[in-house]
Amino acid sequence: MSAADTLKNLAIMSDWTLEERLMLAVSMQEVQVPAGTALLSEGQQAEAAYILCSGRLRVLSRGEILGVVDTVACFGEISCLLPETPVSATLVAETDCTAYRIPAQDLNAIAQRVPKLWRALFLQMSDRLKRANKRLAEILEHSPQGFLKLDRNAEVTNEYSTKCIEYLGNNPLSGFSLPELLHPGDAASAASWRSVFAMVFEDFGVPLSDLFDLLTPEARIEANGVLRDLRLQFHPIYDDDRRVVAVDIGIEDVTRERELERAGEAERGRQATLGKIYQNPDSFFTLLRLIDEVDSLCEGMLANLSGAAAPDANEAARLMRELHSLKGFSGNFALAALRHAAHEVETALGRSIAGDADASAGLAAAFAALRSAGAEGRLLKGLIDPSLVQRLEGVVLVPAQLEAMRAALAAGDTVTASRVLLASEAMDVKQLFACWPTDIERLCAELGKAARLEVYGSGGMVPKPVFMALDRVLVHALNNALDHGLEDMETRICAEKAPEGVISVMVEVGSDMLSLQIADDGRGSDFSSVVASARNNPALDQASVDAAVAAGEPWRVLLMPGFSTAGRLTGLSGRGVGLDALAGTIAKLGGQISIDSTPGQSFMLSCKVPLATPAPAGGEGSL
Amino acid sequence: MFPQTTLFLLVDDMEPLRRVVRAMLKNLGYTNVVEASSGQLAAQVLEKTFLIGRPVDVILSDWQMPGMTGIEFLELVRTTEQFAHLPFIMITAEGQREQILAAIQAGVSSYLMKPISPAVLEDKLKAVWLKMQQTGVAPGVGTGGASASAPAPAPTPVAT
Repeated sequence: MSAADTLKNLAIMSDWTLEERLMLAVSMQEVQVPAGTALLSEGQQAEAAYILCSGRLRVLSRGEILGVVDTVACFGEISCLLPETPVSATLVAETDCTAYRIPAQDLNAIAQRVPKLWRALFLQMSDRLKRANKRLAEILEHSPQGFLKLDRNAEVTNEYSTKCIEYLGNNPLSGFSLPELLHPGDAASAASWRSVFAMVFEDFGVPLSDLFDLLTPEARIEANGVLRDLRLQFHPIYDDDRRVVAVDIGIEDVTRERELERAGEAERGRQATLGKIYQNPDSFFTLLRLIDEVDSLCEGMLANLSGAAAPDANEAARLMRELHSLKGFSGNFALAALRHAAHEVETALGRSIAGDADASAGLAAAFAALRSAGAEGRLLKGLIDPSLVQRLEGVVLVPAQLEAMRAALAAGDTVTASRVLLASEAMDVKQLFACWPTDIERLCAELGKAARLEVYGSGGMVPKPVFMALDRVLVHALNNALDHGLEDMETRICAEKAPEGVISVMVEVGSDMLSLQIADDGRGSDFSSVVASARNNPALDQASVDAAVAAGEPWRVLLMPGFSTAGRLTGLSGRGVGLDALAGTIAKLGGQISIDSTPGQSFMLSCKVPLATPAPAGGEGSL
Repeated sequence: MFPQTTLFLLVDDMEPLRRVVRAMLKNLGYTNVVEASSGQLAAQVLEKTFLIGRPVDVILSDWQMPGMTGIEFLELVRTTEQFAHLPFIMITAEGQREQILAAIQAGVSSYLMKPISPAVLEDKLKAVWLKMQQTGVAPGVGTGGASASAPAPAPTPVAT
């Protein structure tokens, strides 16, 4: 195609006469542009204009692709005709191209002789502008982010998109202070936001992302009656010397994402709870009984409570113990709300006993919160299949047992019949530790520690009352080992121990005796300092302390009810919290407990519980 | 990004934390790490490595240390001519916003909030490197292979 023919295909010269086109054609010189070479560079004055004949050109600004051209079109002519007007975009050949080059001075000469050229260029520019505006509007509409440009005073400039009006609720938005829109009614936060934002404009030598990270990345804002979660992204705008002159802020509505996340979390929590219930249903029923007991203890205390007076110490100690169990159990079943409410009551009660009148006055509210959390816990029972509830709450007889019992009863042999009955409800003792691996994982994550469980011994079946009684209190042994026994990873590394602690359980069921040992390889307990701190504690029965020392069993101090409670209230090491409850249960079962420890290395609880004579029904309450 | 020959100085009184950060640096391919358990010792390490001709390229220092604190060590570094421009990354405790702002005003190059994750460490190092490129601070990192003399980035043609 000749130069004059090419010009005929150029839309802006469609009304030029042949003579006018030939005038331009004589200055046109055909050039081959290999793929990858730049024809014009953004920001530089053009020495020539180009008309693309064949091939494909990529139009770029600041590295962003603005478009691709593959039709006959003219480039660089404005920069040629207007002095001090650099080229507005870079043109790079995407494929090998053929183009005509028109030197700037020739173009200027022709422009003087053909005034029509100016009109043509004007039309071309207005067309380009129209298309660019349309495209910009489309991009703003399609982007999930609304954009607003913020000046150095953190005020919205005249540049903001429609989405921002919708999200921030002000129309027009110009002049509004963004920190105040993000922190309505919180002048301190807004001021702090503004001061960090101001630092963006001064070069402190840190990456800008360091400063942006300190600005609110998300905000919950109500606009036009709609509450939204908004996520903010910061994009600095630089001048030619790479100084920040303003900041573009992309605002995205993430309400739906956050809602789904919250719902997902709640659902995962519910699933986790359900899983735990099916895994260890007996333990779940223990939890339900605990909720009831704590409820009635709270109610009793509330009835005797007058104003801001502290509650009765004995009553409080009992409630404290049950709360500790409730905390452990609700944690086991991933019931965060219940655990939190129990913790709050525990804290308030502790402060109240210590003489804090405000805490005493606040007890009723804490009790009420615990009660409603407990009620929610009870509802979980509804999630279990009713026939399963019946089986879990009742006794399951396998057909062979039923047959044996029928035969024994027919023969009048009630001893055999009751033996069958007892055997039918016997429980696998190792089941007591079934939840421990997941509990260890959860508690370790909370405490920033690492530990694993190792279970040894023959195991075996134990009568249900013994199982249920132990199930309620063994959680204290685990909590103690994890919370107070095992050190955190850094401390363990420093002490040249393996970073991961080991909790080992040894369980043997003999013909008439259950023997149980729970040990950890943590920091252990120094009995002499335990005794020393007990001596300084007026709340403790010093005669019992003396007796324990005289008997050569100083560790008994750890099992004294006052020791743990007082220790916790005064902020001393809490080693022994809840162990009194464990010791009490073992004693009720007619068993024995002892503690052995090597300071810095290990702590071991040993229990022996007789199995031959199960606790008589209706005896010492429901164990 | 910092070349693999970069020499890091790790300052923290807690040995386990130094071990953790050292392991993270190793995962990023950086094996040249010297350690110091206090600001005073770190100053000596800076001096010695400078004198033997293998100066430290990047400092990672904890804020909370007995004796000389991280911020005091930073001030010492910034007022010593030959180290004034060294990239200095402060390690701060979680949620210490005011502390971070003070560190920025005192002239750190970046900060790391505990607990440190490998991904964040990598991001921060990248950002500090990029910032050095942009501001033209040429620290002659490592063997000096990659220079930091690149000017403000020109519009990059996509295909070359």
